[in-house]
Formats: sequence, structure tokens, C-alpha cells
Amino acid sequence: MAKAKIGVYWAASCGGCDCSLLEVNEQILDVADAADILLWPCATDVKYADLAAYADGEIDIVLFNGAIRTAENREIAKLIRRKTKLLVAFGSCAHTGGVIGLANLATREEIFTTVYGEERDRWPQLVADEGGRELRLPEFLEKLAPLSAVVAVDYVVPGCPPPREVVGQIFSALVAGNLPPAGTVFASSKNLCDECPRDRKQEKIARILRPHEEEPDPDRCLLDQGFICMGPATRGGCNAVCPAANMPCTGCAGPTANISDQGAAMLNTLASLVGTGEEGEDQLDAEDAILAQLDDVVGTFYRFGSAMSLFRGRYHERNRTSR
Amino acid sequence: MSETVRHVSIDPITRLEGHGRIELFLDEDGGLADAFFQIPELRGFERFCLGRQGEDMPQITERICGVCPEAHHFASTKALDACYGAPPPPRARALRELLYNAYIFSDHLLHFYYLGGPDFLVGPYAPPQERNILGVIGKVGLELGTEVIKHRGYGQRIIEIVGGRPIHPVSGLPGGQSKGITEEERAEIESMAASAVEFAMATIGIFKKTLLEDETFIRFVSEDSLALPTYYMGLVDEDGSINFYDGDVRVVGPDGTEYAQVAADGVLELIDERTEPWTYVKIPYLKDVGWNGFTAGADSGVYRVGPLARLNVCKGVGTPLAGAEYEAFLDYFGGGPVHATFAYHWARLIEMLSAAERTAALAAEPALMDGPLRTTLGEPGEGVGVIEAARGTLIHHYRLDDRGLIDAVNLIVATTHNVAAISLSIKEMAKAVIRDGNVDQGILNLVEMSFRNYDPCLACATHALPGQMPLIVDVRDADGALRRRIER
Repeated sequence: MAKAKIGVYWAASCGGCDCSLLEVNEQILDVADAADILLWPCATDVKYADLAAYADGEIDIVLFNGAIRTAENREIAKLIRRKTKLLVAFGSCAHTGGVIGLANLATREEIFTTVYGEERDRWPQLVADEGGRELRLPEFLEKLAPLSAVVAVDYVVPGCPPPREVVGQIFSALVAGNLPPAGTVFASSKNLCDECPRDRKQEKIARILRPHEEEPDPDRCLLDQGFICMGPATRGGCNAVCPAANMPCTGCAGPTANISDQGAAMLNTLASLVGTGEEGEDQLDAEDAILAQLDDVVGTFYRFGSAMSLFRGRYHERNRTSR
Repeated sequence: MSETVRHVSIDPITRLEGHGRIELFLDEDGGLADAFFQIPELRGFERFCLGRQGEDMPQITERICGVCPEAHHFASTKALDACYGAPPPPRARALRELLYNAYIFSDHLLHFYYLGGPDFLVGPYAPPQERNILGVIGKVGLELGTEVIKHRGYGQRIIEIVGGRPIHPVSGLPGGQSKGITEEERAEIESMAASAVEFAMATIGIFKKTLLEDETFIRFVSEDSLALPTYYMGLVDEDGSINFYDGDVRVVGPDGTEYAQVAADGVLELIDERTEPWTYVKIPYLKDVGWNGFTAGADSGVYRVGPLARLNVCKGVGTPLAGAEYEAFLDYFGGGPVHATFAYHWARLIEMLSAAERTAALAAEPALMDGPLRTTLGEPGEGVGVIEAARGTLIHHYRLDDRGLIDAVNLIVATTHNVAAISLSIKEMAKAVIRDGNVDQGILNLVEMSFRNYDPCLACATHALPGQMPLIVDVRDADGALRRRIER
């Protein structure tokens, strides 16, 4: 069997996805036996000029992590799409925009003002003249986008970063030469609660708790205890490692297969759970008062998915609830 | 020569974390006219962290860097400890330090075998397709290669046990940790740590047999033109020893004398920053020395952080085996401070050994297993957390509002401190090795090797907001009426 040709690329990312490929430990040696690495900036010396010189479709599969934040990210994504047969949106940033999609709450000008100050002539320039030498920077785009917004994607691997077991599955398929059909999502089709070791009774939530406010009971469902755990709206596949570590799920694997807006689905779930457990006309007000305890709706419900959310973009200060 | 190469881009620079490129401009004789180290990325954490719940910051900011998430996770957690006036109880502190030293071990191992080391382990002039971890395994053999992979896995496994996940841990909370460990897990960590100490010793042995015998390496650590006499910054404990997790910030001058030693929250007073129109990163320097351009020496505010800087600011490394290696290091260079930039490789391995020794000692620490995991929190306020990331001093500075939401945030990140020095090192190397317009891939790799010394994390670097966080202090009288507002 001819060796497969694979690539790994990062756009706007943290490098955690690249590191997650090493989490399979010795299995990486099997991959190295079965495949040639044609692109992996973190670990090998392949330059953009080398990538551009490959024939169209020469690479079999590219694991693409990171979001599209700059014009360079977009350009390289398009170049890679031409050079590879299969393109994988690997990890939260490529899949849903990730944590850094929260930047879409602000305009580019607001971001630059925060980072570089009010004086515009001191901001980085797309073209700068430095002693007669021209230096260029790629444009920082107005909005961050997930990979699928700029090119067609064949597989999705959710997670921030994707868990070891899932990476292992992809590598096994690659080594065996039996990659699944396009459109596959490498994760559980069920939600996180399905694999969570905690005992869930779907109890009424009368008070919303933040993780630092109280030490949770280690055996009971976090949501039952009032902690906002994104489990019901989030894909499983990670073995619920965060709830197992006594911390709520933050939703890094994105929405389950049957929902489109993860935050809205979770808010919907929560709305049906809040209440004092009593009957009466004042219950609606009581439920509103409980939901008003949410201090950061976007950061909690759209931590990884704001770039894919229905509201996509501006979120107004006045929408921020207060206690 | 038939034609003169005028402008050469190395794009992207490789075997590092994040995006960078080097622009080289050659003069008519084919020598270097100028070199620029550009960072073409920005993600804007400083902006979108505003309004987030304080306790979410350890998990949000660790997404700045997936190679050193533990550093951001705990710099953030420590800043929150300070914001809530809640130092963690001994058990939580021991758990954090245990995880943290395992991280330093694992991260330094990654650099030596996967990122910067292949330049020497495989060879600086080796074909580019071999200058990587697979080339290293080809060179050192599958048996040792398997040990490399296994021990990186040990470091990650310890992080996973204590932090809940191997990448992007979740256990840090203001005033404590979310979880403890079982006795079975502790025993597993103890045996992995013992093996890590042996592996770190073996790695130093490999360093001595390969790099210290390599003509190119010896030339690069001895040549004056590749040394940068700068200021150095790092954390030290009360004995003056290196401490990765906590301590005072110490800065020494190029001659080794103390420039400053301050508590964590004093570090912000030492630094100012500047922007350049051709890069997305900001460039910090020592405020009182001043910015004197991209230059080294006592009159330039350029300073360095990371393994070499830590060995230059400390009085000792604090563990016995690494202590002996530190002495050998000083003997080789005839005493400190050591300015040879390529000595970063050696310093990193001494730290890797020290971190392994500390991990082993902490795994036997009785405090690890008993007592509360969290302490009672005070009212939310302002706080600074300083930690030594693998790549250098990392500072998180937050102000929380009365609901514990982020009102102001300031991050001064390890690689950012080094940006001016990296630019200088690249230029000096390019000047030394580019002759007659010859810029073949071997020569260009030598230029790249000059930044790999620093193990830069450019994803981290572009999230710095060095300098002063806007601060508003309201002075009220006894009745609570506002008398004066101080803004800076």
C-alpha cells in the first residue's frame, strides 16, 4: 500500500490541537510508518512555498486547526483546500470558532483600541515602510469565522482540544486505510450527560451557583446542584472529564447532532429547569429572578460557539443581566 | 554570481508555537542589510476577556497557548487568589505545584526532542524533511525514541491526574483546587516522577555527548557576536533559588548585579512597552533603563526571560542533581551571567531535571493528601499573579467588579519579554552566516535556529498588553461620599 500523505495546519489557534496529536503517545510512530507528513509547521520544516508547489489534490488529508482570523488564515485555508483531497475541521476553533470567537462581540476597532491604544498612527499597518523596506502584515478581519465559512470541510473533530481517544480513532482509520465517508463527525452522537458518571435527577434549580461559590457534591449532577453545566447541549466523546474533575462542562465539543445553536438549546433546557418547585401565579416572576442570576450569558452559554451562534456578532451591554 | 538576492522571506518560520516570519534584506555585496522578525497574528483576548466571570479566566486564558496552558491556567488562578484575598490551603498549593513542575518537565522535553533540539540532534545542515522528531528517532534509535514519547506522556499524565485534562486543565479555582487525587494516583505519579528524573539525567548525558561535542554548537556558544549581554528577569524564592510556581521577581543587569527585586505586584512598575507598525506584537523594555532601539547592553532596556535568564538571576536551582549540573554549566562558561544565546538549550535541560526532581519530591509531600481543597473567599477586587512559564515570566493582572466579573485585564506574556532580544539574535545570526548572497535552506535554517533558542510561543506573544492597566481609585470620606477620583 502506498504511504498516505498527510498534513497538519494551524490558523488562529493556540497549538493545543497540535499537542493533542502527540497525546496518542507511541501510536504516532505507527502514523509515521503509514504516512508521509507533507505539512506541519509546528513540528516540521515545510514552508508556504513548498505547500504552493504541491500538485492540486496531492495531499490525502489535512487536519486543520484554528479559526479564520486574518486574511492570511483565509488564504492558506483556500490553498490547503486545493492541495488536499480531504479537509478536517480539527478542534473547536476550526469547528465552531472556539473561545476566540468571543472576539466577535467587539468590532475590529474596539479590539485594536484595547490592545494598541487610542492613537491610530501607532497601530500595526498592513504595509509599513521601515527605512525604505516594505513590510506587510495580513489584514485582521472584521469578524472571526470557523473553517467551514471559507472552504468546504469533509470531517469534523470537535473538542478543545479533541480528546486522546478520538485522535486515536482517526489515526487508526488512517493507518488501516479505511477513512469513513465525508460528513463524519468524530464524536459521540449523544450528549455529554449520556457518559457523565454523576447522578442526574433533573431537579428544579432555585439558585444558580458559580464554580467558585460552593464546593459541589462529587456524585450529584452539577446542574441539579445549580451549577451551569453545558452537558445537555454538548456532544459527548470525552468521557465527561470536566464534570469528573468537579467542574462543569463548558461546551467545547459544540452542539449535539440535532441542535444548531448550542447556547440557545442550553438556555431552553435551563428555562425548563428553574423554579422554586412551588405552584402559583408568581412562579413566572420567580423563574425570571433565578435566570437573572446569570452573570455572563455569552461567556457561559457561547464560550466556544459565539461565532456560529444565531446572534452572530454584536451583543449589547443592555442585554447583560444583573443581580 | 549571476544575480543578487535582495529580499528573502522565511515564511512561515517553523518548529515553534504560533505564527511568525523573518524578512531578510541583502545589500549589493550579498551580505545582510537588515532583518525583521514579524508576528502576523492577533486574537484579541484582552478585549473579549472583559465582562467574563473571574473564575472562568483560568480556562479562557489557557486557550492563549495550548503548549503551555498550565502556565496561563495558574497565573490566572493566582491572580484570582489575589483578587479574592484567598491564598490556597496547603493541599491545593501542593497539588498546583506538583502539576506545575510536571508541566515544566514535559514542555522542556518537547522543545529538546521535537522543536529546537532536532537542529543539533539531526544536524543543522540535514535535509529539512529530517529535521524533526522522526529524524531524531531515526538518529538516536527507536528504543530511546520510545522513551522520549513515554516520558512526555508521563508529564502529560500527571497534568491529567491533577488537573482533570492533559491539555487545558480545569482544576484551578480562586482560593483552591476543584479536586484532589487518590492514593493510587499519587503512587502512579511517584513512580512516573522517579522515572522522569532518570530520563532527565539521561537527556543531559545526550546533550553532553552530542551538542557539547558538536562543532557548530560549540562555535555558537562561544562566538561573541552571538551572545547578547542583556538584563535578565525571573522568579526566585526566599533562598534566591529558581521557583517556577511562585516567588519574587528578580532582575539582574548584564554584569550580573541586581537591578531590582520586587514582589509579584511590583513587576508592572518595572516595564513599559512600545508598538512598531510592522508587527502585531508589542515590545516591552525596562522602563527606567529606557528604550534605546534594538540593541543589547547596560544602556538598553532590552531584557530576557526563560531558562537562561532564570539561571542568570538565581543563586541556585534548588535541587541536588540539577544543582550539580548548574555548577558544571557555570564552570564551562567561567561563571555567570551567561550571555551566549545558544546556552538556552543547556539551561532548559538543567531546569527539566530540576522540575523532575521537584515533581518527585512533591509526590511524597504529606500535604498533598489531607486537608481542605479550598479556602473562604473575600470580596472581589484587584490582583496580580506571576508565574514562571517554561518560556519565562508570565503575569496576569485583573480587576473584578463587585459581581466578580472582569473589569480590567492585563497580560504580560513570557515570549513577549523576549521579542526585542529574538529580533536582535536573528539579525546577528543572519549577519554572521549570510555571505555573497548565499541563502540556501541550510543557511536560512541557521537563522531560524537563533529564535529556536528561545522556544518562542508567538500565539502567547500577541496577547500581551504590557504596561499600565488603566486604574481608577475612588477616595471616599467616612460617609461614603466621593472626595477624589485618581485615574491613571
